[in-house]
Amino acid sequence: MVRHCELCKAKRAALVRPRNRQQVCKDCFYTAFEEEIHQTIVDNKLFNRGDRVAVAASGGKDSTVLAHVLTLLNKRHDYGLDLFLLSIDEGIAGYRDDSLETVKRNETQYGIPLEVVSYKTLYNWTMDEIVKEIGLKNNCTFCGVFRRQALDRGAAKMKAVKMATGHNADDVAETILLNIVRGDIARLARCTSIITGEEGALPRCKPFKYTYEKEIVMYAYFKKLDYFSTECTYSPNAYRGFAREFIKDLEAIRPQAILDIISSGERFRIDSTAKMPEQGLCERCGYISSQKWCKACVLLDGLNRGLPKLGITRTRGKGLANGVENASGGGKLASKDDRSPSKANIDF
Amino acid sequence: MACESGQGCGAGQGCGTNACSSENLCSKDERVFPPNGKKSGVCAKCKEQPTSEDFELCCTCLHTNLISKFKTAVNQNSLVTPADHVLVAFSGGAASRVALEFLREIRLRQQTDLDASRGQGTRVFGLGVVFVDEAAAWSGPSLDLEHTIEEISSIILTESERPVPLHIAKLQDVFEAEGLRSSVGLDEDVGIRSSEEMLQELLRNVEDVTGKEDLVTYLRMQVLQKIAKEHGYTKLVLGVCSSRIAARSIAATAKGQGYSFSADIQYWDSRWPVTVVLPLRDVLARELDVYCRLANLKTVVNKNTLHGTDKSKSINELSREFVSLLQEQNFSREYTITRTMGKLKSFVFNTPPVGPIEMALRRRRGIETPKPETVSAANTVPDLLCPICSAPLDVRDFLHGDVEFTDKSSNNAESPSVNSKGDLPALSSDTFKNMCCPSCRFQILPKNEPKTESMVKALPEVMRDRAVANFEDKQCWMRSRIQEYLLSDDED
Repeated sequence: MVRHCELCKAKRAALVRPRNRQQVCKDCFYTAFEEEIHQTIVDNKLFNRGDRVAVAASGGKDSTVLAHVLTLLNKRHDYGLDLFLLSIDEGIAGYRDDSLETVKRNETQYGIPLEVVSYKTLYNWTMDEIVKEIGLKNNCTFCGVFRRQALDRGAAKMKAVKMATGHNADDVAETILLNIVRGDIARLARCTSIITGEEGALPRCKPFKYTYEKEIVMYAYFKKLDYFSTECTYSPNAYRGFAREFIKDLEAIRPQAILDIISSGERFRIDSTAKMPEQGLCERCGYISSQKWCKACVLLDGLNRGLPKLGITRTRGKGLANGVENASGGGKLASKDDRSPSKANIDF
Repeated sequence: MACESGQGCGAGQGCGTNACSSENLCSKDERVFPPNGKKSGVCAKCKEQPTSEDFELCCTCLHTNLISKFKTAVNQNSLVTPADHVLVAFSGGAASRVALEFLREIRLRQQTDLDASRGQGTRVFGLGVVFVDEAAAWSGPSLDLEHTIEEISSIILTESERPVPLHIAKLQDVFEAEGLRSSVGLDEDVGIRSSEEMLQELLRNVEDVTGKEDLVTYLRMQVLQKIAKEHGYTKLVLGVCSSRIAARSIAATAKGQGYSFSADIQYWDSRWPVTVVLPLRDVLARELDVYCRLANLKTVVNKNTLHGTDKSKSINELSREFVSLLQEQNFSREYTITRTMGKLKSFVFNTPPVGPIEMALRRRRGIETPKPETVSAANTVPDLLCPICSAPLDVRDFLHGDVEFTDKSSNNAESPSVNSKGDLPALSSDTFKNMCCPSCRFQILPKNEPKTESMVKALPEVMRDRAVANFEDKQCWMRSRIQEYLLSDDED
C-alpha cells in the first residue's frame, strides 16, 4: 500500500521527519523545513532589513544548508539582507584546504561573495604548526579560541553587522547538558540565547536553533547540496562525545527530547545574581575580554614565547599573571622565533 | 554514639554503637599513623580501621560523615523539629534504610537527653514508616509481598526502643476516598479490586514508557500524602540522595521540566498537605550502599518495581545510565550536577517558615535567616500547580498555552460543569489539558480526544480537584484584570 504524505495527502511519502516522525513527501519536507526556519527568524527578529550578514561557512553540512536556506529565504520573503560567506582557514592540511574548495563552489552556486580569513594571516601560526608545538592535547582549545576571534575579525573587516552560524538544535541541547554536567551556571544561563553578543559590535545568531541535525542532513541529501563531510583531523573529543551519544539515544526514544532540552534550558530559573564575568576589552588587541588580555592573546603569547601551555594549565601566580605582566611590560621577552601577529592588516 | 570527630572518641569504648559492626576500640592513644600518612586498606580519615569494598573510609568514619551531613541538612533547614511527627517513605533501598536508621538514632539520643533532664527538655519527634506496594501498577501479581512486608517489619522491630508504626499501602489506595490499612497484614476487602482495576485502566491510557513511570511516581506521592495526612504526620521524609537528583536532573531536562524541576530537589517542599523533606540530598548513593553493607543494615529488594516497564525506552533509565557513566569517569560528577541544579531559583514553598523560636535557634547556630520574598503589587499571577505532577506552572504556559489547546478550550470551557453525582465539578478534557504542565501534556495525557477524556475521568479525584481549583483561580485572576470594564447586573 502506498503511504501518502501526511501534509498534502496527495504525493507518496518519501521520508519520516526525525523531528516528529511525520511521514511526508519531499516537497512538503522542503516547505516545512524552510518555513520553520523562516518562522524562527521572524519570531526572534534575528535580522533587520538592510543588515549586512556574515554567514559563517566551514563547508560542512550545517553551514552549507544555512547558506542555501538563507539565500533562498532572503529572496522568497524579501528580507533585504546583504549576505556573504565568511570562512576561516585554520591551516589544517587534508581537511580545511579541501573543505574550503567546497565553500568556494558554494560562492558560485549561491551567488554570494566569500571572504576567507586565515590563522596564518591573523596569528602567523597555522593549526598544523600549533599541533606540532602542543601535541594533540588541548589543540582544540587553540582552534576554538582563535576561530571565534577570527570570525569576528573577518566580519568586522567586511563591515558585517551580524553573523549567522550553523549551530543546530542538537548542538544547543548538547551544550546545555554539558554546562549542567560541568557545573557552569553562568554559561547555562547564556547558552540558550538565539542571539548572543548583542551588547557588542557583532551579534551572532543561530537560525537553526530549533532545527534537528538529521533534518539538515536530510535536506542537504535530497537537495544534493555540495558539502564536505570529513571530520577534522584533530577533532576527537571524548567529553562532548558522551553528551552527543546520550542525545542520539534520547532522540531514538523520544524525538521531542531535543526540543525539550532546549525548552528546559530556556526556562531554568537562574538567579540573576549568578556571577557573570564582566566584559571588558583586551589591552593588547581590543577584542572583548573579561581579563586584562583576551584568551587568544594569552594563547598566542604562549606560543610565541615557546610556552604553549600558557593559558591552558593552571599555574596561578606564576604562569598566566606573570606571563601577561612580562609580555606586556617587556615586549617580546622570550620570543621563540620572530613571529608576531599581523594585527595591522585587520583593524578591530 | 559514634564519635563526631572521626578522630577517635578517646574514651576507649569504641565508636561503633548501632552503626558500626566493628568491635575494635577507638582510642586516640592507640591510634597508629603510618609514616607517610597513607596506608593501603586503612581508613583515609582515622588511619586506623581497615576498609573494604575499595571504599576509602571505615564504617565508623563513614557513619560520622553521613550522619553529620544528615544532621546539617536537618538542622540548617529545620526539617525535623521536636514537635514533628515524621513519616519515612520506606522503599527497602539503602537511602530510605539509612534515613530511617539516622532518624531513629537521633530520636534515641534526644530521648536519652530528655530522660536525663527529668522532663525539663522539649518533646521528642514521633516516627512512623510507610511502604507502598506498586505491584498493581505493573499489571502483575504482587511478588512476594508478604515476604517483603515480613522483612520490612523485621527491620522496623529489631530495636528495643519505642515501637515505630509501619503503614502498608497499595498504589491503588489513591482511588479510595477514605480508609487505609495502617497495620501489617492485608486483608482483601470490598472495593480493593475495583480500585486496582481503576489504576490499571488509568495506566493503560499512558502509551509513553517514561510517562507511565512518572505517573506511578506521582500516584505514589499522593498515596504517601494520604497516609501521612490521615495519621496526623507533619513531615514526610524521602530518601532522595544526590545521585538520584543528578540522574533526575538530566531526565527532567530531557522531559522539558526545566522551569519546575528546582521545586523537586530542595530540602523543604511544602506544596503538599504534609511537607516533604529530603535530608539525604547531599549524600551519594554509593556511600549509602557501602554504609548499609558495612554497618549490616538490612535492605529489602522490592521485586515489584524491577519488572515494571521496558527500561530500554525509558528516559529515566537512560539518564541514570548516562550519569553513572560520567560518575565512573569522575567521582564528583554527581555532586557537580546536583550543585548546578541546586543553584536554580527555588519556589516560595521551598523555604521553611521561620518562627520566633527557630529564628532564635538559627541565630545561636549562626545560620542566616533568608528574607521572605517581597511580592510586588503587579505580580498577582496565581501560583498554580500541575494537577498531575504538582509541578509549578510557568505563567507562559497557563496564560497562553499551546494554540491547539487554547483555541479549542476557549469555546467549550466557560465554567466547570457538575458531573452526574452532583458533587464534583468536571472540566472538559481540553480544559484539563490546558491546566497541566507541558511535560504531562506530552508524556502522560493521550494525544487524541476520546482517549484524553477517558483518561481524565480515570484520574484520582485529588488530581481532578486540583485542575478545577486551577481553573477557578485562573478565571478569578482574569476577572480581576477586566474588573473595571464589567457592569454589575443592577447597574443601569
